[in-house]
Parts: sequence; C-alpha cells; structure tokens
Amino acid sequence: MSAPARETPRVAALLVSHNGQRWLPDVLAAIERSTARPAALVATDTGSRDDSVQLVREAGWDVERLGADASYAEAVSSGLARAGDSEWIWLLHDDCAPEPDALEHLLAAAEEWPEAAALGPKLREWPSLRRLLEVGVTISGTGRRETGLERGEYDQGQHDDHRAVLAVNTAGMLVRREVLTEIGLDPQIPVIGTDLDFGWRVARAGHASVVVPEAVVFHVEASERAVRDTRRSHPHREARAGAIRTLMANGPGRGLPLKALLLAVGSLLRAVGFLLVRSPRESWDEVVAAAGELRPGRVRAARRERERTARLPHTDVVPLLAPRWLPLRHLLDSVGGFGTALVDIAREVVAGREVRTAHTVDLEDEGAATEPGLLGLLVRNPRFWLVLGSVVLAVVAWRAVLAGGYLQGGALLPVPDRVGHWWSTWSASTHLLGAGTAAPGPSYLLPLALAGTVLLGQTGWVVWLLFVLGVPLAALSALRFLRRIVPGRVAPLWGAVAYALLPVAAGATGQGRLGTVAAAVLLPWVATSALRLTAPDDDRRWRAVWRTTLGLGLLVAFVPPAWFLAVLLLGGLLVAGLTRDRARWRGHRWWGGPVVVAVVPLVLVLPWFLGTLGTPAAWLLEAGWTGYPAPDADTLGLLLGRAGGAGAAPVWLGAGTVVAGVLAGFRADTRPRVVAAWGVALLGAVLVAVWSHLSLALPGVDGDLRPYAGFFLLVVHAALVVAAVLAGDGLRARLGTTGKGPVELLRLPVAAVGVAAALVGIVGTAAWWVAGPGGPLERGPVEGVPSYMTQLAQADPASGVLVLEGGRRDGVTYRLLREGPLRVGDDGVVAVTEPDPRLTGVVSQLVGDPQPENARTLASYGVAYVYAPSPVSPAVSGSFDAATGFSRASSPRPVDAAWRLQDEPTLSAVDDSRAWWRPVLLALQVLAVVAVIVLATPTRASRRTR
Amino acid sequence: MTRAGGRRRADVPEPVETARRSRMLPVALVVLVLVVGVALWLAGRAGPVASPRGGESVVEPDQQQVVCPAGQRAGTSRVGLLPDADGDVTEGGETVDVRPGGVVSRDVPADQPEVLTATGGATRGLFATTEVGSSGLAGCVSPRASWWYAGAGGSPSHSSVLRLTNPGTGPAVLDVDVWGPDGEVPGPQLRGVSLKPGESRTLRLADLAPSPGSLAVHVDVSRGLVSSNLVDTVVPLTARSAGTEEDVPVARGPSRRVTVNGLGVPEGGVLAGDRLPASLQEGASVVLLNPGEGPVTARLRLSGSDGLSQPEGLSQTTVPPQSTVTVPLGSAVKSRAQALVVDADGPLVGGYQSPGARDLVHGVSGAGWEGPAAVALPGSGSARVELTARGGAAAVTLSSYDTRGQRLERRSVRVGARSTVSADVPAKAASVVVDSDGGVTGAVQVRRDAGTSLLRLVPLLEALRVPDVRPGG
Repeated sequence: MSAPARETPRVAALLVSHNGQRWLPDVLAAIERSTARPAALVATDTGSRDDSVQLVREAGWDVERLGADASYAEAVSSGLARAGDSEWIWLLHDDCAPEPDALEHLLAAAEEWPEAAALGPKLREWPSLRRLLEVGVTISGTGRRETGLERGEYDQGQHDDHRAVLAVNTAGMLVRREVLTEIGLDPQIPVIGTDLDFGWRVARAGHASVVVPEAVVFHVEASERAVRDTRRSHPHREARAGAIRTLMANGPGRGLPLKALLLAVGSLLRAVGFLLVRSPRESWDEVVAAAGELRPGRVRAARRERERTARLPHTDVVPLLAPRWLPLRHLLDSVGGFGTALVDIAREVVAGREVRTAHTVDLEDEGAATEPGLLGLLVRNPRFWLVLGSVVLAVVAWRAVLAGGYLQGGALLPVPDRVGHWWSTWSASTHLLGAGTAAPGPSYLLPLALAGTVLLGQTGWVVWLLFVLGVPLAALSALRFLRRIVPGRVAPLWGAVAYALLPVAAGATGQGRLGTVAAAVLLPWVATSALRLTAPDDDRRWRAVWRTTLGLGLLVAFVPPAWFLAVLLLGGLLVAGLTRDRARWRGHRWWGGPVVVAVVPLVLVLPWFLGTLGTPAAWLLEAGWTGYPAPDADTLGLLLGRAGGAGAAPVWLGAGTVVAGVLAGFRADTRPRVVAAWGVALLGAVLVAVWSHLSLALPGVDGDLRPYAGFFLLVVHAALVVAAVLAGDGLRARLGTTGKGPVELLRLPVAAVGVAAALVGIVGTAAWWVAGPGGPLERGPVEGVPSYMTQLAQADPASGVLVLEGGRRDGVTYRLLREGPLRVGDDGVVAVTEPDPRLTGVVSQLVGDPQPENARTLASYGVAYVYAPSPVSPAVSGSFDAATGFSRASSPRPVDAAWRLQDEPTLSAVDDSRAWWRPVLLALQVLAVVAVIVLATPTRASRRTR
Repeated sequence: MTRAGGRRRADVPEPVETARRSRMLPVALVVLVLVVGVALWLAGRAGPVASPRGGESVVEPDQQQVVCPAGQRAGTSRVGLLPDADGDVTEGGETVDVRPGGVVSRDVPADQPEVLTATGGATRGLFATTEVGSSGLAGCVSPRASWWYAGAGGSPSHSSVLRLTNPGTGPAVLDVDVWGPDGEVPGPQLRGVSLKPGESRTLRLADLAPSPGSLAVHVDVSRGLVSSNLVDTVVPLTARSAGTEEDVPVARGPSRRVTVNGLGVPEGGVLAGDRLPASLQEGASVVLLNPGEGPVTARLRLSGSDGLSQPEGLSQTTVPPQSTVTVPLGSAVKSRAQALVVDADGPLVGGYQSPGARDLVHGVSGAGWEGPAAVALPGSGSARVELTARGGAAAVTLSSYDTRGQRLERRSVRVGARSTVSADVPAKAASVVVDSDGGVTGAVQVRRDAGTSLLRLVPLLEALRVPDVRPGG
C-alpha cells in the first residue's frame, strides 16, 4: 500500500483530452498515485466522441467541454480559469502517465532552479518501457523537432542531468502560472510544436526551461503517431505550419527573408519527397503550410506579439537551438541508413528463403538460427555464379571490343563524346542536323542519357554495358522471371543462360542492333511484372500494372514495335479474363489494368509518339541505324533463332532450344502452361512473318527498307525457352512416377533427348560465343569524314560537311553532317526528317550541270566542305572540279576527294523552325515517368493496412 | 499467373470439363507448333527489298557555251543552230542573230576568243567553226576538263600553240602534260596554269616544252572548265612561205581502239624527208601516245570502202610507256576516203598528220556518238563527210542546210562493217548534220584554196544525263 500523498496546494493539474478513452484510465490512476497531490484537478475536453469526459469526471476532475476545433492553447486557457490560485500548473495529456514521484521531483527541481519557469520530465515510451522519447527538445533551422536522442535509445541514465533546454514537452510540463498567463500558448499552433514556441518565448522572456530527468512520464505520443481517433483533418499540415511559425515568429529579424526562402525551398523538397513515397496528402500539406505561414503580414503580427514579452536579445537563445550542422548530420545518417537498408535487402535477396527459414527453426539450434554472412550467402547462391560466370565469359567473348576507340559497327553508330548531346537531342525543339529539323529525338535517348549521367557522363560505358555485358544482364533478368514461374533452380539456370544467348546467337549483338540488345535485358523484367496482372490483391495487382507500364514504356522506347505485341497479349488477357471470370473482370479495377498498360507507355514516350504521327513507319523500326539494312533470313535460320546477317551463330546450334521447346509438350502436368508459352511464340512468329514482308519508306532514308524483326524472333525463342523450363523443372521427380504403359515408357527417352538437346545447344552456343562471335561490331575511331573537318564542324556549326556517295549507276546520295558523322540518336532524328528540296536541287545541279550560284547556295546551308569517299564517281569529281566556287581540299586518303567552298558558310538557309510545343510534351513525359515510378513503388505498410 | 507448383496432386478425380480441356491441349499444342513453323517459313520466303531507285536522269542544261579560239589575225566564224534548237545565242552580251537550222557569219577580231552562250532550246543545238590562221579551220568547242592532242610539235619549225580560254565565272587551274618520243617532256611552266574568269592564255610548246619529234599533249583541268585549241604552225626549212597553220583536232581520250578519220592528202601531195621538221619527216604518219606505265602493242589497219586492210609494212608497233611513236603510213594513204584503225592492248591516244607543201592535214580521232552531230561549213570550198563503221554495218542520216536554215538534202548513208565511206555535201550547204545511233565515227573534210582541213563532227548536247541525287540515310 503506497504512502499517503502530500498536499501540494501550489500546483493545479490541467489535463487536456481528446478521444483519449484508451489511455485515460491508466493516466488518471497514475495521477491518483502521485506522491505530490495537486491542489486542483481541472480538465478540458476538446470534442471527444468517446467516454473521455465521463472517465475524467468520474475521477473527480473539473471538466469543461470545448468544441473539436478548439486549439490546445484555448483548452489550456480554459483550464487556467478554473485552476484557482495555484502557483504552478502541471500540464498533462490524456495519453501520458506520470510515475508516482514525477510531480514531486519536478517541484523539488523548481526550488533548485528558481529561474525556471517551465520544468519538464523525462518522457519514456508507454506504457512502462525503457526507450527514451524526449529529455527536453529544441528545433533545427529546417523546423525539425530535435530531441538529441538516437532512434530507439534506451534509458540507461545517460541523460539524467538537469539542464536548461529550449523547451520541454507539454506532456507533464510544470509551468509557473504567472508565466503561462503572461506569455500564454499560441492558439495558432497545435499541441505538437506549441511547446517549442512556448519554450522559445519563455527563454526570451528571461526564464529557463529545465528538464528534470528523475521525473518520468510515459507517453503514447498519440497525436504525433496519428493513433488517436480524431477528425482533425490535417494534423500534418498543422504541425508543419506550427514549426514554420515558430521559426519565423521567434527567430532574429536579420536574415528573415533568407530564412523564409530556405523554408519555402525546404517545404517544396519535402513535398516532392512525399510525392515520391506516394503520400500526396502530406505533400500538399507541406505546400499549404508553407504558403499559409510564410506571409509577411502574418509573420509580422506574430513577431509583434512576441516582442511584447521578450526581454532578452535573440542571441541569448541561440545556445538553446539545434546546431546548424545538424540537418547535414541527419542527411548523412539517412544515407548511411539507406545503405544499410540496401545491404539488408541484398542479404534477403541473396539468401532468399534461407534467411527466412532460419528465423523459423528452433532457436536453440544455433547453427540454423545463425544468419550466414553476406559473402557466405553469395558463394552459396547460384545467381552469384551465374553473374560471375557470364561476366567472365562475356569479357572473353568480346575481348576484341573491350577497349580502344568507339564501339560501333553495323547498326550501331558511335556514341557522342558528351552525354549532353543525348540530353539536347532528346529535349531540343529544333536540331541543327542536316538542313535543320524540328523532328523529335528518339525516345530511347532519355534512358541512355540518364544512364550516361549516372555513369559520370561516360556515354561509351552505356553501350559497352549493353553490348558487352548484355548477356549477364539478360541472364539475371531472365533468371528472376523463371524463378517466379517454377520452383526449381536448375531449369531456370539453364533457361536464363539459353535466353541470354539468344540475341547473340541471332546475330543481333554482333550487328549492333541496339533495340534488340536492350530489349533482351528489359523483356524478362516486363514479363515478371506482368505475372501479377491477375493477382487477386488489388494493391498488388495495380503495383504490377504500373511496373509493367514502366517496363513496357522503356521497352517501347527502344523497340516501338513491341507495343503491338503487348497490345495483342493484353487483348488476349482481357478476353481470357472476361471468359473465365466475367463478373470480376467487368469491374474497372480489373480491366483498367491492361488498358493502362496498353495506353500509358505511349504517354511515357509522348514527344516522340506525337512527333512521328506523320511518319508511322518509324513505329515499325527499332533503335539502330537505318542505314544498316535488315538482313535476309531464310526459313531454317528463323526456325532456329537466326535473324540473318553477319555475326550469327551456326544455324544448327539453335536446334537444341527448339527441340527442347517442342518436346516440352510431352509432359502432361505442365502442358497448359507450355501451351500458353507456345501461344506467345505464335504471336511472335506471326509478327516476324508480317515484319519480314514489310517494305518501309522513311523521308530521311534512302530507298525502301525492311524493318529488322530480331525482337519478335527473340520473343518466339524466348517463349520456347520458357516452355522448356516449365517442362524441365522437376523432371527427374516426375520421371520417377512414370507408369508402365507404352506412352509412359516413352517419356524417359523423350526427356533424355530433350535434356540432351537443351544442354548441347546451350553449351555449343556458349562455346561459339566465347570463341568470338564476329559481326561488324568493332572498336575504332569514328570514320566517315576527315578529322580536321569534324574538328572544324564541332567548333563552328556552320562548318558542315556535305558527304557524297555513289555515281551514275545507282545515283548519288548526299548527307549534310555537322559535328562529324552521325552519332547514336542523330539517325533517329534524320530518318523522320523530310529532305530539303532546295538542298537536293542544289546538289543535283552541282553534280549534273554546275552553275555559278550553286556554291553560294550551298554555303548558305552552312556547308564548308564537300567530301566524297572512295570510290569517287567521275561524275562527282568532274562536276565539283569544274564548278565555280570550289577548290580541292585535302582528304585522308588519296583515293578520296574533298573540296572546300570559297564562299563563307552561313546558316541562313537552314530550317530553324521550332516545335514550340515540345517543352510541354517533355514536361508531361517527365511528369508521367515520375508518376509511374511513384505508383510502381511498393506501398507502405501503414497505407496498406488502412 | 500464380507461383508455380509443378507437382500434381495424386488421386483427385478431374471434372469432365477439365478432362476435356486436357484432351484438347495436345491438339492445341500441335496446332501451335505447326502454325509457328508456317509463320516462320512465310517469313523466310520474303524476297529482298527493291533496290533503291537510282541511276541517271536526263535534264535540260540551263546554258551551253561554245568557244571559238582566238586567231593571230582577224577572221570569220560561222555559227549555226540545229533546226529544232529554238533559243537564244549571245556573245559578250550581244544577241547573235542565228535562226534554227541556219548559219551566220561573224567577224572575229584577232587574238580575241569568241564565247557563244546558248540558252533555252539553243543549248541543244549550237555549233560553230572558225578560221585559224591563213588556211586552217577549227571547230569551236565547249569548255571541259580534259583535252588530248596527238601530233603537236615543240620545235621552232614545228611549233604547236595551245590557246586556252576560261569562259566561266570562277578561276580555272590546269596542268599541261607533254610527251614526246623520248618520254614526258618537262615543262615547269605548264603546271598549275591559272586562268581568271574570262581570261585567255596562249602557251607555245616550243618555248615551254621544247622537244623534237611528234608530241602528244594533255590539258588536265583541276578546277573549273576551259576551252582549248591546239594550232600547229609548220615552217618548212626550205620554203619561202611563212608556213602553214592548222588546227589540231582534239583527240579521243586514251582507249584501246583508236579510229582516226580524215586521212587526207594535202594539196600538192604529201611531203617527206629532211626538208621538213623532224616531227614531220616521216610524211603522212600516225602519232600514237602511250600515257600508261607499261609498253603497249598496237595493231594498225586501214579502213576503206571494202573494210579493213593491212597495208604492207604496217602491222604492229610497240609504243613505250609515257612516250609517243610516229608510224609512217607511206603510200598507204590514198586520196579516197580512208580511216586508220588502231587496236591495242592498252590505252592509247592517236592522231594523224600529213604535211604538204602549203598545207598540213591532221586527222580526227573521235568516238561514236548518238544523236545529231553538226559542223558549220565555211562559205567557200567543198566538203565531204567521211564515216567509218565502228563494228558492224551502220547507217546514218545526213542532212545539209543553207544559211537560212533551208534543208538542202536529207539522205541515209550506209556504212559497211568496219568500212569507211565518204558522202559529198552540196556546194550551197552552210551546215551539215549527221544523225547516228553510235555505230560510226566520222569527220568532215573541207577543201578550200587555202588547203584541206578536217573538222570533227561535234555531237550536240541533246540533254544532260546526270546522276539521280537523293538524301542518304
């Protein structure tokens, strides 16, 4: 039985409640047990809808009810009026329970600190835990509430010194009544944060706020943690507004505009951050709070009010504020925390079930409960060996192109020297390419530019990663997908390697087919996301929708024809869904997903999509130089995964995968899914057939061209790989259950043939690859135009070079180059640009019947040189030798021909028309990309549980 | 798709619908495999994409220039137009009043080249002839980048003078290469010759590239276009006359077959012997140039009315690299129409020269042409057209017109295979037009009191064949 409490006639306990029924019984009981009993017990309720009022009244308190919109300051004022003649006011919340001796310690400290106007307890975690919450608080320059404690710090007496602080929490604060009356709480600031403002004003009034650690109060922090049932609509907004008001109203006047600007910028950054974590309400709260508080009139009024009670200069308060470097430390802590989180994620990814399983076994079994180290996890993970092995093999296979010059050849143009070239080509409203054009930059330049920027501006590393490390990247991507569809390990490993080698074996990599190579890496990622498009959980399904949309958008950027395949597949999904479960799929939350996946990728490539509406043929071509034609492929080659042309593996090496894919149909239990895989293969094959018969014309490309069907061929054979994996997973166990019938007896030899074919195919293809795949892909200097012409052109865009090729037999083609030969991305702009008829006319006349004014006209297009690489047609050389205004210039080889124009080149004839709407489209594109990324990120647990 | 579980639960009875679906799956799989195969087979049967359009187009030139070389003395030029060439002809800004089909005479001052500019329809039919010296005639030519001559002289007694004119609006730069019996003749001042727009220059080989023997000359224009005429001046060592001047017709560029028309006999017969300059001492002779790096063997034959013949003593000759050889034809050359046919195992340039007492005849080494070729005839003398079939029998249409453009005759002339025929031109004819389909080479021989001249039949520009130009990818 506790000792009887002493009467403390000088203290009135003032409790403010708001829907605190959950905690009030404990709170009231704790106050009742207090060794120092308050003289008055007054309570103010702010619109509780539960039994808070009844509980407090039954405990003998004098309760007044205010409306739910009453502020904490108003509630305290109401209590003050009923507190009698108490000298001290003990402020309490309905979710804080003091230890029995808390008030006693506070009063003792008050006698020890006569200058103290406010004394605060040590706040610990409810209901009786040892984790520290606050031992006095201060505020940083960004408005953040600083406790000076580590997250989850345990109370071990390390903060048990009495000390003056800027403020103490109103939960358990013992404050002199006269000070509280004189200074008062700001009614504009909610309960979260009003303590800081009050403490600041107390300090400026010449008083002290002292923390008394031996007085302990346990606090739920119901308002801060939003666990209180409240109808207050914008608690976050109010808290943020309060923090901004505290800083602006109490800080020194010097530098106030700068502080306002920093707070505005900070609020904006916080708003963006909230958007990125899909908290649009909090994001809007940040904006509204800043806009509401950073108004000069409001700030002036608040500062006038504070000057009324201020007696000390601002500098006297500075030692109580948080150090200026504290926000930087928080940033470093966040980075460190992020890194730790990444390592943890990596551990979990690498360990997979192993770690999770370890947590479920008997904890007394130390061996099982011990988590292996990261290195150990890596070594035991087949994914690690897949990556390591494929990287080593890739380096060996592409040893000829590892270093030295630009990676180029076939359909791959050299990369620009600066990543800024990609940025500007993607974003520019007009391009100084050729005779000038307002055509859009290809949409794949955005991811390339982003990757190049991340890689410190090294554009060469981007294509190097794609081409040289394309196999490991594709293998990793494919393994992730295959592990999702089969439980085993061996079959997915085989499938990942077989899939990753497909573009190499088809010749796409050796021919520099940027689109197919990038698609090989992206396709499994898109497929993995698409697996959950039919997930029953709404949240998961829509996360999958957005992830698939993002992946498809990236895929379409590199291979626009992929959109057609996606639409067909999504259409099939819709039909299947409506057929099997009409009631469910008629809901927009179900059919809307495939529609979003089909439509939104077009928004993700909006500038290019709208800019090529007049050139629909551009949608049938993948990324890569159109000047390198699609090779003719024969039937056998296509059947065995060869798209034709140089750099392809021997045809027979593709038989293994095909045989395995066909024999996959023999296994009955996996047959439904094997059929689905073959269905995808069918779609891909149909599109291969269609694409192989197309003949396209692009305005900026000479002659008709056939689009490269490598991507669809990749889809066909990828589907066969999937079929083989589906049937091959668990095959040994399946064969163990084989019966004795004639069909059953066939399974073993069929399986043996399938496995053998699969292994021979993959080993043979890998061996061929490592030996050096060949093809036009190479490393070397950028050729095509003499280097001195390129250097001059880079320094002066008016020093363009007109390159002429051909002769009487096939006609003469011309290209007007600025900054040297075309680079990755430039070709996409040039291909959709209508040629300038006047320029074509001038060149025609020069080649046929040169006139004196031709040179001047050519110079007005910014042409300084004319260059004809070998073999030089006599028609060209004779004409330019004879033409007025040209003189011979030096060429790198004697068999080439070059002329310099005598007229000073200008850009007067260049088309400088701008697509003024492009910045708008680019902004929409960026917003769409950010929005899709945000929507694709995992949902926070708190939001998911609402 | 949900996470896979590949293992079948045992002993669970399948519903009927599921059983039916299971039976259809193998069929569906077979169908899918077959259709995939058919689709890829169809893809493999796609033919190649049509090759890009290309080649040449025929365009009308905007203007055509014809330059009549300057003479040491004033003379007369004869300017003509084809009957269907309806356009304007100007010279120095002044209109030349020539009607389609007609010929006008114009006085040409000394040392002043005449630059005729045709526009409109006249670009397709302007031709002209001018007097050279006291006895010669020269065809007026359009500027171009390369000129070959065989049978020039670089000695005081046989000196050739190169008259170059740059009629364009930009500067022209050229080199003149000269070869003789002993190889290339050095001529430093003949390299990098620069002509301003409108400038004319006279280069005397005897001064700039002195060499005995018969020479060959190549004017190689590296910048711009020039017109060129080579005028031969021969001063017989023992003659009392001032000498003869004759235009050396431009020769066809190096080729393995050379046909030289107009093996004319000078007035008073062919001379030979020591009285003549060294380059002409062989008398009527053919001059062959080998501009290549290795020796070339040439077979020489004469083409007459009966076809090709091999004159005695005239079979094969070897031409050393970068050198000329002079092959005497001796008595093989008769007064009747003949042509020299040279077949070689390497490219050669050929010419014919036949000195006389008062005259020097140079043959015309030309190529076949398609369409009309025309010559403006002088106001006096007689003319005949000499044609040689390049291969099989050929036929041409011969038309002649008076100064007013009235057609005097039009007839078809047949030339036997590898044969040479001549066709006289009516006395009143001011111009002769020969329409050919490419099967003949030819020249017009004009005999006047002053001497015999051979004029090249100039193929008239029907239109320009220019390569198609298009933007490249």
